[in-house]
Amino acid sequence: MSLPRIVCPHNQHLLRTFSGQSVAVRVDHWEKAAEAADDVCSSGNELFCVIVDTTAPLDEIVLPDDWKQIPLAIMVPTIGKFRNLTAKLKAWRDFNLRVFLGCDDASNRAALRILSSLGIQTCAVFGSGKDDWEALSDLMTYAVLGQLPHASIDPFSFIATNYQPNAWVDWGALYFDDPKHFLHLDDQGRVALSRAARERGDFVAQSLAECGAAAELPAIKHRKRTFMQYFLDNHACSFCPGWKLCLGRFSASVPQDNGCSGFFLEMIDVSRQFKRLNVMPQDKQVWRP
Amino acid sequence: MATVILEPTAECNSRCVYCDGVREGKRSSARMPMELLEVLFSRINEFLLARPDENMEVVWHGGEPLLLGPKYFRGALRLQEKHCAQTRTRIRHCIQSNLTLLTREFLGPLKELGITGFGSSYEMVPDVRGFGPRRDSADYNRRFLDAVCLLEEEGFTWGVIYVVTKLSLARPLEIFQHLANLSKGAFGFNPVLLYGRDLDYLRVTAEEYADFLGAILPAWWRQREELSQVHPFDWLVGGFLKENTSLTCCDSGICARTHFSVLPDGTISHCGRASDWDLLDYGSILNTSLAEVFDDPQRAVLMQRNTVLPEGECKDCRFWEICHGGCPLDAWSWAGSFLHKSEWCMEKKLFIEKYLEPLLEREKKSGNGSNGAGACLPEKPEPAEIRTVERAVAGSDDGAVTWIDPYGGLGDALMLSGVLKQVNDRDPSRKFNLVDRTKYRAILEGHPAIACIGHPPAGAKLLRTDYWASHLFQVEHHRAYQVLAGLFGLETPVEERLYAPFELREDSLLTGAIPWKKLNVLISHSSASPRKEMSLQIWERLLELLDREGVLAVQATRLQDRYIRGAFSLLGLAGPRQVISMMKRFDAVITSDSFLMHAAHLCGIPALVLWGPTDHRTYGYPEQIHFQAKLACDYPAGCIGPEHPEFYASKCPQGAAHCMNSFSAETICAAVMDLLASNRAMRSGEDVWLLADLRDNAYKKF
Repeated sequence: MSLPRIVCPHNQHLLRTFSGQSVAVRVDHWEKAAEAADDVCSSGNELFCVIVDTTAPLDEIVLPDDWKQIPLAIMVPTIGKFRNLTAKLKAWRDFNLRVFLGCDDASNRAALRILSSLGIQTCAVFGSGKDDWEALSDLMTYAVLGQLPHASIDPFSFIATNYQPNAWVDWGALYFDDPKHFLHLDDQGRVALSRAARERGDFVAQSLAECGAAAELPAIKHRKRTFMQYFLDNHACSFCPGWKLCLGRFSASVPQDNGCSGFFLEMIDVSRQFKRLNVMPQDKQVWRP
Repeated sequence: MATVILEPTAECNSRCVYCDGVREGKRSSARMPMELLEVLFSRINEFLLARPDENMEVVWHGGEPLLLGPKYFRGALRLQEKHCAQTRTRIRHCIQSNLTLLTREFLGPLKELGITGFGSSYEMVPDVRGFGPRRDSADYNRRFLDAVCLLEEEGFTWGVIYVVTKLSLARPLEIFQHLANLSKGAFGFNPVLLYGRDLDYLRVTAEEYADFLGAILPAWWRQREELSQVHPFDWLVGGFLKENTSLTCCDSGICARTHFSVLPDGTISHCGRASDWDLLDYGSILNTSLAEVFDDPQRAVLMQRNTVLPEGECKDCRFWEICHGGCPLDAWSWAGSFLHKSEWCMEKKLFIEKYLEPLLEREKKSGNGSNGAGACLPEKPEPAEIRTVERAVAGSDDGAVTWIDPYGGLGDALMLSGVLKQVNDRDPSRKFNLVDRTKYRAILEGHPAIACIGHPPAGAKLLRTDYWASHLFQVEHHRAYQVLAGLFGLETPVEERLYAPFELREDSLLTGAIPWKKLNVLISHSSASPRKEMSLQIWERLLELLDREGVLAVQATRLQDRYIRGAFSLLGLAGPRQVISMMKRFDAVITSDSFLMHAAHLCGIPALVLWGPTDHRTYGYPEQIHFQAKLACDYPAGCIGPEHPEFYASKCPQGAAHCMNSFSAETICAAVMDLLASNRAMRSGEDVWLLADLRDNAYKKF
C-alpha cells in the first residue's frame, strides 16, 4: 500500500532519505519557496505543494512570475495593508496558490471575502475556540451561495461541493490534517499524524521506513477511527444534527459553546441549496442556438 | 420472491436482554452440518429449475451466523457452485449479523456469495445488548464499530435496526439523530417483542411506540429525501401516500406464499418466530422438497386471514392495504390464533391518525402538498399567522400588536414610512412592531408608528408589505402607494406623502468633500433590478454633456454599484439617511426607478426619472419628469413583473437592445438642463408657471 502524502520541512538531507513520494514541503519564508520546490523535485519525489507558513502579512509576499507553476499554500496571520496588496492581486490570479487565513477576527473574515471576490482561492482556518459562528455562517453563505463570481473559500466550497445526503464529509485534508492523506515529518524524519502532533512531539514512527504499510500502523488506524469514541461515549456530538459535516472537530468546546451545531446545521442546509441550484432540471433548460 | 430464513446456528455470542432465545435457553451450540446445507442447496436448485420465473433469497440468520467462521461460508459457496450451476444467478444471499465477530477473512467468501451489505442492530443505551451475563455493551459496541469501519473500507453497505424499549421512550429525537449520524441514513426501528415475558422495564405498548415514532416523524419528514430508507417511516408513510407499495413480511399479507425457515437440524418452519414457538412445522429438509413446503396445507390459514380479517376485526379499516392485520405470528402470540389481527395494528393506526395525517394537513395548508419534500416545517412552532395582502388587516382586532414583515427596497420602505405616518396621524394610538431586517431599520427606526423593531415571537400576527402580490396591483393596476395604504386600512385614494422619521442632519465631512459647482445633480444609475438600469455608456455620455454645461454630477449610492466616469463618487459613503439629509443641496436628481426617485419626491427636489420595464404611472410622482421606454417588451419570455418575479435579479437578455438603452444622452441632457433652468426660475419666484408646465408634461412618453 502506498504512503499518504508527506508534509516535511525544507531540508535537503531529509528529502533525500526517501523517494517516490508526493511531498508538501514546508518553508517559513516565502523567498525559500522556489528553492524548496526544486529540492523536492531533485530528490526523486513529486512536489505536491509548497507550504509557506509565515508570520509575515500577505502584502509583504512577493511572487515572481516564474513561480506560477508552483502549487503554493500560503499561511499568513493577516493580509496586511490592502493598498499594498492590490497591485499584486491581478498577477496572483494566474498563480497556483491558496491563501490560508485564520478567521478569529472580523478583519480576516472580511479579508477572505475580499480576496475571494478578487479571484484568489482561500481557505478559512477556524476552530481556535474563539470562533464567531454567526459571522462564519455569513462567510460560508457568501462562499457557497454568493452569486457574483468569486474564487472558492475552503472549507465551505469543498464541503458544499462534496456534500452527499448519506455520507460524512471529512475536510481535514484541506489543512493537511488527515492521516489518510498526509503524514507529517519533523527535521529528524520522525512521523506524526498531524501538524499539531508533530509540534507536541507525538510521533507514531521514527522514520518513514517504519511506515511500510501505513494504513496498518496502529496509530493511524486508531486516528482513522476516532469517530467511534463519540458514539461509544454517547458524546453530545454523536446526537448533533451537524455531525456529518463536523465529525466532532469542535467537540472540545461542546457543550459550553454549541454555536458549532447551528453553524453546521446551516451548512447542511446551504449545501443542499447549492446542490439544488447546480442541478438544472430539463424543463428549466433554455434553448441555445 | 421466495425467501428462506436460514438459521445455520442457534448459538449467539451476545446476550441481548430482550432476545427470546436467551430467555428461553434455546441457544444450543448445534450447527447445521455441511451435508444438510448441501441438501438445502440441492432443494433450492430443484425448486428454481421447476419454476424458471422464481428467484430465491437466502437470509443468513441465527443465532449469530458469523460464529460459523469464514470456512463455513467458503463451503457454502462451493456447495452452491456444485448444486446450483444453472440457477445460482437467481439466488440472492443476504446476512443478518451483530457484526462483533467480523474479520477481513469473512469478506472474501461473502462477497463471492454476492453479499454486498449487512443487516445488523445497534443500541446506545448501555447494557441492553452486550456480551456475557453482565451484557458488556461497551465492548460489544466497540467491536461493532470496528466491524463497521472494516465494512466501509471494503465497500460493503450496512444498516441497523434499533429495538425500541421503554428505556428509549424518553429520547426519541436523540436516538433518531444518533442513528442517522452513525448509519448515514440506513436504519430502522422495531418495537421490542417480549411475548408475555416478565420484562416490564423494557415493554412498550403499541401506543407508546406510536408516540415514539410520532415524535420523530417531523424530523424525518424534513429530511425524507435524504433519509428515504428509515423504517418504518419509509414504507408506512410511503404506503399511506401510495408512493411505495413494498411492505415488510409482517404486513405484506402474503408471507404464506414467500417465506420458510430452516433450522440447524434441517427442520423447516415458517419463520424464526414460528420455529421458536414450535408452530407451522413443515417437515425436514431431508425428506421434503421446497415445492411441498410451499404447498403445505398449514399455510392455508395464513392466507385465510386475507378474507377473514377484512370481514371481521379489520372491517372498514382504511389502513388494511398497508397492514393486512400485521404479522400472523404476533397475532397468534396476542390472541392465540392466526385469524386475528396483531396488537401492533394499533401502533400503525395511532401513528397515522395522531401524527401523520395532521402533519400532512399542515403541509397542505401551508401549500407544500404531500409531495413537498424538503419544504416542510412540521417540527417548528405553528407558523405565525400570515396576513396576506388581500386582507387589509393592519389593525389589531384582538389587542395583539401586528408585526410588519417588510418586503421590497428602500423606496418601498419610504412609501411604507409615509403610509404609516398617515395611519398614525389619524390614530396616534395605533402602533406596529417591525420585523428586523437590515435595510429597513435605516429608514424606519424612530418612526412614531413603530413600537419596536425586533424578531416576532411564535404565533405573532404578521403583515407582509409585498403589495405587488395584490390583486389590486396585479390586475387592477392601482398605484403602489395606494395598494400599500389599503393594506394598512387607509381609505384610498390617499395623498402620496412620504415621511422621513428622523432629523435631517448633513454630514459636513461628506458635503465638505464635494467640489460643488453652480449646478449640481445627484444621480443614480443602479437599481435592485439590473433590468431597470440604463447602460453605463449612455450615463457616461450624459455626464460628459452635463460637465460641458457646468453641471456637477454626484453619485451617492451603494458601494457595490459601478462608478460612472465623470461623476464625483460618494459610492458607499452615504447611507439613505445621509443622502436624504444632503439632498436639498442639489438642484435635481437623475435616476432610474430607485430609492433616489422616492427620496427626491420626499425632499421636493425636481427629478428626471428613466423608466424601462416598470411603469411610471404605478410608481412615479406627478411633479417629476418621466422618460418611459416601451413598456411592452418584444422578448418572447417577457420581462419583470408579477408574472416573472424570477427575472428581477437578472440582466435583460437582449443586451444592447435592452429598452433602457433606447434613451439618448443628448435628449436626457437637454431635459435636465430645461429642468434646472425651470427649477432655478421656480426657486427665484420668477416663472412660477413653469412648474405647472412641468406638471402638465409630467408623463412624457419617450
